[in-house]
Amino acid sequence: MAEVDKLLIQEIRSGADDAWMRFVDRFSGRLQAFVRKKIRDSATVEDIVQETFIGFINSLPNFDESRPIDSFLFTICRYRIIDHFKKTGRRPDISSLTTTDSQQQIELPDAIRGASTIYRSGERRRAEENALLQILQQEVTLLIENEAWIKLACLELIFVSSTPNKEIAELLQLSQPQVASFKHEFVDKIKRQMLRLGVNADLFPELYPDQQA
Amino acid sequence: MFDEFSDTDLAAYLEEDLDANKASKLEATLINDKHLQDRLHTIRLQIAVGEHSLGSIWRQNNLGCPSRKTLGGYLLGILPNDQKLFIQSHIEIRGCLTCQANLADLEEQQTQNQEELTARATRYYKSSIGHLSQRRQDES
Ligand SMILES: [Zn+2]
Repeated sequence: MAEVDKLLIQEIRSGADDAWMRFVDRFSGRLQAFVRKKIRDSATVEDIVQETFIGFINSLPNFDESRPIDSFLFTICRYRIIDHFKKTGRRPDISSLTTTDSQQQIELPDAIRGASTIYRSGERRRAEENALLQILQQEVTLLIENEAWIKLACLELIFVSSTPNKEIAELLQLSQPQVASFKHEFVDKIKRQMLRLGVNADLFPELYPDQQA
Repeated sequence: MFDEFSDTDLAAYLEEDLDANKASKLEATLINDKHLQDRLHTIRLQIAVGEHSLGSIWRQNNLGCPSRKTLGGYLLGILPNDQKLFIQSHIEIRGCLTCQANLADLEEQQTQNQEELTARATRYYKSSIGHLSQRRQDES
Protein backbone atom coordinates (compact mmCIF):
# COMPACT_ATOMS: atom_id res chain seq x y z
CA MET A 1 0.00 0.00 0.00
CA ALA A 2 1.18 3.54 -0.73
CA GLU A 3 2.48 5.58 2.23
CA VAL A 4 -0.32 8.16 1.94
CA ASP A 5 -2.89 5.37 2.16
CA LYS A 6 -1.19 3.85 5.21
CA LEU A 7 -1.27 7.24 6.87
CA LEU A 8 -4.94 7.71 6.04
CA ILE A 9 -5.82 4.32 7.54
CA GLN A 10 -3.81 5.15 10.68
CA GLU A 11 -5.66 8.45 11.04
CA ILE A 12 -9.02 6.72 10.65
CA ARG A 13 -8.04 4.11 13.22
CA SER A 14 -6.92 6.77 15.67
CA GLY A 15 -10.27 8.52 15.47
CA ALA A 16 -9.91 11.49 13.12
CA ASP A 17 -13.38 12.00 11.64
CA ASP A 18 -12.09 14.23 8.86
CA ALA A 19 -9.86 11.37 7.75
CA TRP A 20 -12.98 9.26 7.26
CA MET A 21 -14.54 12.08 5.23
CA ARG A 22 -11.44 12.18 3.02
CA PHE A 23 -11.60 8.41 2.64
CA VAL A 24 -15.27 8.45 1.63
CA ASP A 25 -14.73 11.39 -0.71
CA ARG A 26 -11.86 9.60 -2.37
CA PHE A 27 -13.48 6.21 -2.93
CA SER A 28 -17.23 6.82 -3.27
CA GLY A 29 -17.11 7.88 -6.93
CA ARG A 30 -15.29 4.81 -8.19
CA LEU A 31 -17.40 2.45 -6.08
CA GLN A 32 -20.57 4.05 -7.34
CA ALA A 33 -19.37 3.77 -10.93
CA PHE A 34 -18.60 0.10 -10.32
CA VAL A 35 -22.01 -0.75 -8.87
CA ARG A 36 -23.84 1.29 -11.50
CA LYS A 37 -22.52 -1.05 -14.18
CA LYS A 38 -24.40 -3.89 -12.58
CA ILE A 39 -27.45 -2.31 -10.98
CA ARG A 40 -29.61 0.40 -12.52
CA ASP A 41 -31.73 1.52 -9.58
CA SER A 42 -29.90 4.48 -8.08
CA ALA A 43 -31.22 4.01 -4.53
CA THR A 44 -29.96 0.41 -4.55
CA VAL A 45 -26.61 1.57 -5.93
CA GLU A 46 -26.22 4.02 -3.04
CA ASP A 47 -27.26 1.35 -0.53
CA ILE A 48 -24.58 -1.00 -1.78
CA VAL A 49 -21.87 1.65 -1.70
CA GLN A 50 -22.92 2.54 1.84
CA GLU A 51 -22.83 -1.13 2.86
CA THR A 52 -19.35 -1.34 1.33
CA PHE A 53 -18.09 1.48 3.54
CA ILE A 54 -19.66 -0.14 6.59
CA GLY A 55 -18.12 -3.46 5.59
CA PHE A 56 -14.76 -1.70 5.41
CA ILE A 57 -15.25 -0.24 8.91
CA ASN A 58 -16.07 -3.71 10.21
CA SER A 59 -12.93 -5.21 8.74
CA LEU A 60 -10.69 -2.32 9.77
CA PRO A 61 -9.31 -4.08 12.89
CA ASN A 62 -7.82 -6.87 10.77
CA PHE A 63 -7.22 -4.99 7.53
CA ASP A 64 -3.99 -6.14 5.94
CA GLU A 65 -1.97 -3.06 5.08
CA SER A 66 0.06 -4.85 2.46
CA ARG A 67 -3.03 -4.90 0.26
CA PRO A 68 -4.06 -1.89 -1.82
CA ILE A 69 -7.15 -0.20 -0.37
CA ASP A 70 -9.15 -0.05 -3.54
CA SER A 71 -8.66 -3.69 -4.42
CA PHE A 72 -9.91 -4.52 -0.93
CA LEU A 73 -12.88 -2.14 -1.20
CA PHE A 74 -13.92 -3.50 -4.59
CA THR A 75 -13.83 -7.02 -3.16
CA ILE A 76 -16.18 -6.04 -0.34
CA CYS A 77 -18.36 -4.28 -2.88
CA ARG A 78 -18.56 -7.33 -5.15
CA TYR A 79 -19.68 -9.46 -2.22
CA ARG A 80 -22.39 -6.91 -1.36
CA ILE A 81 -23.56 -7.15 -4.98
CA ILE A 82 -23.55 -10.96 -4.83
CA ASP A 83 -25.67 -10.77 -1.65
CA HIS A 84 -28.04 -8.36 -3.34
CA PHE A 85 -28.54 -10.63 -6.34
CA LYS A 86 -28.96 -13.59 -4.03
CA LYS A 87 -31.73 -11.78 -2.16
CA THR A 88 -33.48 -10.67 -5.32
CA GLY A 89 -32.97 -14.05 -6.96
CA ARG A 90 -31.34 -12.70 -10.07
CA ARG A 91 -28.31 -14.98 -9.91
CA PRO A 92 -29.59 -18.17 -8.31
CA ASP A 93 -26.44 -20.03 -9.24
CA ILE A 94 -24.13 -18.39 -6.74
CA SER A 95 -25.93 -19.30 -3.55
CA SER A 96 -23.07 -21.22 -2.01
CA LEU A 97 -20.39 -18.69 -2.83
CA THR A 98 -20.61 -16.48 0.22
CA THR A 99 -21.11 -19.25 2.74
CA THR A 100 -18.51 -21.84 3.50
CA ASP A 101 -20.40 -25.05 3.77
CA SER A 102 -18.11 -27.74 5.09
CA GLN A 103 -20.36 -30.41 3.62
CA GLN A 104 -19.28 -29.39 0.15
CA GLN A 105 -15.72 -30.22 0.92
CA ILE A 106 -16.67 -33.79 1.62
CA GLU A 107 -18.92 -34.21 -1.37
CA LEU A 108 -16.41 -33.00 -3.95
CA PRO A 109 -15.77 -35.78 -6.45
CA ASP A 110 -12.16 -36.83 -6.89
CA ALA A 111 -12.10 -35.78 -10.51
CA ILE A 112 -12.63 -32.18 -9.44
CA ARG A 113 -10.16 -32.19 -6.63
CA GLY A 114 -7.26 -33.42 -8.72
CA ALA A 115 -4.17 -35.34 -7.82
CA SER A 116 -3.18 -33.07 -4.98
CA THR A 117 -6.05 -34.01 -2.68
CA ILE A 118 -4.05 -36.25 -0.41
CA TYR A 119 -2.05 -33.68 1.45
CA ARG A 120 -3.99 -30.56 0.73
CA SER A 121 -5.75 -28.70 3.44
CA GLY A 122 -7.31 -25.28 3.09
CA GLU A 123 -4.40 -23.68 4.86
CA ARG A 124 -1.83 -25.37 2.72
CA ARG A 125 -3.65 -24.28 -0.40
CA ARG A 126 -3.76 -20.69 0.85
CA ALA A 127 -0.03 -20.74 1.43
CA GLU A 128 0.60 -22.07 -2.09
CA GLU A 129 -1.66 -19.44 -3.62
CA ASN A 130 0.03 -16.72 -1.60
CA ALA A 131 3.42 -17.82 -2.83
CA LEU A 132 2.17 -17.81 -6.42
CA LEU A 133 0.71 -14.33 -5.90
CA GLN A 134 4.07 -13.04 -4.73
CA ILE A 135 5.82 -14.50 -7.74
CA LEU A 136 3.23 -13.08 -10.13
CA GLN A 137 3.39 -9.69 -8.45
CA GLN A 138 7.15 -9.63 -8.85
CA GLU A 139 6.97 -10.60 -12.52
CA VAL A 140 4.27 -8.08 -13.36
CA THR A 141 6.15 -5.31 -11.53
CA LEU A 142 9.26 -6.19 -13.51
CA LEU A 143 7.37 -5.99 -16.80
CA ILE A 144 5.98 -2.58 -15.82
CA GLU A 145 9.40 -1.29 -14.75
CA ASN A 146 10.83 -2.43 -18.07
CA GLU A 147 7.88 -0.84 -19.88
CA ALA A 148 7.24 -4.17 -21.58
CA TRP A 149 3.63 -3.18 -22.21
CA ILE A 150 2.93 -5.43 -25.16
CA LYS A 151 4.29 -8.47 -23.36
CA LEU A 152 2.21 -7.59 -20.28
CA ALA A 153 -0.92 -7.15 -22.41
CA CYS A 154 -0.20 -10.47 -24.11
CA LEU A 155 0.28 -12.39 -20.84
CA GLU A 156 -2.78 -10.85 -19.27
CA LEU A 157 -4.93 -11.81 -22.25
CA ILE A 158 -3.57 -15.36 -22.13
CA PHE A 159 -3.96 -15.97 -18.40
CA VAL A 160 -6.77 -13.71 -17.25
CA SER A 161 -9.16 -13.51 -20.16
CA SER A 162 -8.09 -16.66 -22.02
CA THR A 163 -8.21 -14.87 -25.33
CA PRO A 164 -7.13 -17.23 -28.16
CA ASN A 165 -3.54 -16.77 -29.38
CA LYS A 166 -4.67 -15.86 -32.86
CA GLU A 167 -6.80 -12.99 -31.58
CA ILE A 168 -4.04 -11.78 -29.26
CA ALA A 169 -1.59 -11.75 -32.15
CA GLU A 170 -3.96 -9.61 -34.22
CA LEU A 171 -4.79 -7.23 -31.40
CA LEU A 172 -1.20 -6.62 -30.39
CA GLN A 173 0.33 -6.95 -33.84
CA LEU A 174 2.46 -9.90 -32.86
CA SER A 175 3.05 -13.15 -34.70
CA GLN A 176 1.44 -16.26 -33.22
CA PRO A 177 4.84 -17.85 -32.47
CA GLN A 178 5.74 -14.68 -30.55
CA VAL A 179 2.60 -15.03 -28.44
CA ALA A 180 3.40 -18.68 -27.79
CA SER A 181 6.97 -17.90 -26.86
CA PHE A 182 5.94 -15.14 -24.38
CA LYS A 183 3.68 -17.69 -22.78
CA HIS A 184 6.29 -20.45 -22.55
CA GLU A 185 8.95 -18.13 -21.25
CA PHE A 186 6.58 -16.86 -18.56
CA VAL A 187 5.36 -20.31 -17.52
CA ASP A 188 8.95 -21.56 -17.28
CA LYS A 189 9.97 -18.63 -15.14
CA ILE A 190 7.00 -19.01 -12.77
CA LYS A 191 7.56 -22.75 -12.44
CA ARG A 192 11.24 -22.31 -11.70
CA GLN A 193 10.50 -19.81 -8.95
CA MET A 194 7.82 -22.02 -7.46
CA LEU A 195 10.28 -24.86 -7.37
CA ARG A 196 12.79 -22.64 -5.59
CA LEU A 197 10.18 -21.73 -2.97
CA GLY A 198 9.09 -25.33 -2.62
CA VAL A 199 5.60 -24.62 -3.94
CA ASN A 200 3.76 -27.33 -5.80
CA ALA A 201 3.15 -26.01 -9.32
CA ASP A 202 0.87 -28.98 -10.10
CA LEU A 203 -1.91 -27.19 -8.27
CA PHE A 204 -2.23 -24.71 -11.10
CA PRO A 205 -3.24 -26.38 -14.37
CA GLU A 206 -2.50 -23.21 -16.33
CA LEU A 207 1.18 -23.93 -15.79
CA TYR A 208 0.73 -27.17 -17.74
CA PRO A 209 -0.86 -25.90 -20.95
CA ASP A 210 0.00 -29.01 -22.96
CA GLN A 211 -2.11 -31.20 -20.74
CA GLN A 212 -5.10 -28.90 -20.77
CA ALA A 213 -6.56 -29.56 -24.20
CA MET B 1 -12.67 -28.63 -28.30
CA PHE B 2 -12.18 -24.97 -27.58
CA ASP B 3 -14.35 -23.61 -24.80
CA GLU B 4 -15.50 -20.08 -25.38
CA PHE B 5 -15.41 -19.43 -21.63
CA SER B 6 -12.37 -20.31 -19.55
CA ASP B 7 -12.44 -21.43 -15.93
CA THR B 8 -11.11 -18.00 -14.98
CA ASP B 9 -14.06 -16.38 -16.82
CA LEU B 10 -16.50 -18.60 -14.94
CA ALA B 11 -14.89 -17.74 -11.61
CA ALA B 12 -14.99 -14.05 -12.51
CA TYR B 13 -18.67 -14.38 -13.34
CA LEU B 14 -19.44 -15.99 -9.99
CA GLU B 15 -17.46 -13.30 -8.20
CA GLU B 16 -19.26 -10.47 -10.06
CA ASP B 17 -15.99 -9.55 -11.69
CA LEU B 18 -16.66 -10.41 -15.33
CA ASP B 19 -16.95 -7.73 -17.98
CA ALA B 20 -20.63 -6.94 -18.76
CA ASN B 21 -20.50 -8.03 -22.41
CA LYS B 22 -18.90 -11.35 -21.61
CA ALA B 23 -21.28 -11.87 -18.68
CA SER B 24 -24.38 -11.44 -20.81
CA LYS B 25 -22.95 -13.73 -23.49
CA LEU B 26 -22.25 -16.30 -20.80
CA GLU B 27 -25.76 -16.03 -19.37
CA ALA B 28 -27.28 -16.49 -22.82
CA THR B 29 -25.13 -19.57 -23.47
CA LEU B 30 -25.78 -21.07 -20.03
CA ILE B 31 -29.51 -21.48 -20.61
CA ASN B 32 -29.12 -24.38 -23.04
CA ASP B 33 -25.60 -25.60 -22.44
CA LYS B 34 -25.51 -28.43 -19.92
CA HIS B 35 -21.72 -28.83 -20.20
CA LEU B 36 -21.21 -25.16 -19.32
CA GLN B 37 -23.67 -25.43 -16.42
CA ASP B 38 -21.67 -28.36 -15.04
CA ARG B 39 -18.40 -26.48 -15.40
CA LEU B 40 -19.89 -23.47 -13.61
CA HIS B 41 -21.02 -25.75 -10.81
CA THR B 42 -17.54 -27.23 -10.49
CA ILE B 43 -15.94 -23.79 -10.33
CA ARG B 44 -18.45 -22.75 -7.70
CA LEU B 45 -17.42 -25.67 -5.53
CA GLN B 46 -13.75 -24.87 -6.03
CA ILE B 47 -14.32 -21.26 -4.94
CA ALA B 48 -16.30 -22.47 -1.93
CA VAL B 49 -13.31 -24.51 -0.72
CA GLY B 50 -10.90 -21.67 -1.43
CA GLU B 51 -9.29 -22.86 -4.66
CA HIS B 52 -8.35 -20.27 -7.26
CA SER B 53 -6.68 -20.54 -10.63
CA LEU B 54 -3.58 -18.58 -11.59
CA GLY B 55 -5.78 -16.32 -13.72
CA SER B 56 -8.16 -15.68 -10.81
CA ILE B 57 -5.29 -14.83 -8.48
CA TRP B 58 -4.00 -12.37 -11.08
CA ARG B 59 -7.46 -10.82 -11.49
CA GLN B 60 -8.47 -10.71 -7.83
CA ASN B 61 -5.31 -8.87 -6.86
CA ASN B 62 -5.53 -6.35 -9.68
CA LEU B 63 -2.03 -7.16 -10.91
CA GLY B 64 -0.98 -4.75 -13.60
CA CYS B 65 -3.89 -2.36 -13.03
CA PRO B 66 -2.70 1.14 -13.89
CA SER B 67 -2.78 3.77 -11.12
CA ARG B 68 -5.40 6.52 -11.15
CA LYS B 69 -2.71 8.94 -12.25
CA THR B 70 -1.83 6.74 -15.22
CA LEU B 71 -5.51 6.38 -16.08
CA GLY B 72 -5.74 10.17 -16.02
CA GLY B 73 -2.87 10.28 -18.50
CA TYR B 74 -4.69 7.73 -20.63
CA LEU B 75 -7.79 9.94 -20.70
CA LEU B 76 -5.68 12.91 -21.71
CA GLY B 77 -4.05 10.86 -24.45
CA ILE B 78 -0.51 11.62 -23.28
CA LEU B 79 0.83 8.07 -22.78
CA PRO B 80 3.33 6.36 -25.08
CA ASN B 81 1.68 4.17 -27.74
CA ASP B 82 2.56 0.77 -26.28
CA GLN B 83 1.35 1.73 -22.83
CA LYS B 84 -1.85 3.12 -24.34
CA LEU B 85 -2.39 -0.17 -26.14
CA PHE B 86 -1.86 -2.12 -22.91
CA ILE B 87 -4.42 -0.02 -21.03
CA GLN B 88 -6.90 -0.25 -23.87
CA SER B 89 -6.50 -4.02 -23.97
CA HIS B 90 -6.72 -4.21 -20.15
CA ILE B 91 -9.96 -2.24 -20.05
CA GLU B 92 -11.71 -3.32 -23.22
CA ILE B 93 -10.51 -6.85 -24.02
CA ARG B 94 -9.48 -8.26 -20.64
CA GLY B 95 -12.41 -6.14 -19.35
CA CYS B 96 -11.07 -5.03 -15.96
CA LEU B 97 -14.14 -3.80 -14.07
CA THR B 98 -12.07 -1.94 -11.47
CA CYS B 99 -10.31 0.14 -14.10
CA GLN B 100 -13.57 0.65 -16.02
CA ALA B 101 -15.05 2.09 -12.82
CA ASN B 102 -12.02 4.27 -12.13
CA LEU B 103 -12.09 5.60 -15.65
CA ALA B 104 -15.84 6.36 -15.47
CA ASP B 105 -15.26 8.13 -12.16
CA LEU B 106 -12.41 10.24 -13.56
CA GLU B 107 -14.58 11.23 -16.50
CA GLU B 108 -17.41 12.12 -14.18
CA GLN B 109 -15.12 14.32 -12.09
CA GLN B 110 -14.30 16.31 -15.20
CA THR B 111 -17.88 16.75 -16.33
CA GLN B 112 -20.00 16.76 -13.18
CA ASN B 113 -20.51 19.70 -10.95
CA GLN B 114 -18.22 19.64 -7.93
CA GLU B 115 -20.99 20.52 -5.50
CA GLU B 116 -23.00 17.46 -6.45
CA LEU B 117 -19.99 15.19 -5.96
CA THR B 118 -19.30 16.70 -2.53
CA ALA B 119 -22.96 16.33 -1.57
CA ARG B 120 -22.79 12.66 -2.51
CA ALA B 121 -19.65 12.05 -0.45
CA THR B 122 -21.24 13.88 2.49
CA ARG B 123 -24.26 11.56 2.32
CA TYR B 124 -21.99 8.50 2.52
CA TYR B 125 -20.02 10.10 5.32
CA LYS B 126 -23.14 10.82 7.36
CA SER B 127 -24.57 7.35 6.87
CA SER B 128 -21.36 5.63 8.00
CA ILE B 129 -19.62 7.84 10.60
CA GLY B 130 -21.92 6.67 13.42
CA HIS B 131 -20.89 3.13 12.67
CA LEU B 132 -17.22 4.04 12.79
CA SER B 133 -17.60 5.82 16.16
CA GLN B 134 -19.47 2.83 17.54
CA ARG B 135 -16.68 0.47 16.44
CA ARG B 136 -14.06 2.67 18.07
CA GLN B 137 -16.03 2.68 21.34
CA ASP B 138 -16.40 -1.09 21.24
CA GLU B 139 -12.67 -1.49 20.80
CA SER B 140 -11.57 0.83 23.57
ZN1 LIG C 1 -7.53 -2.92 -13.94
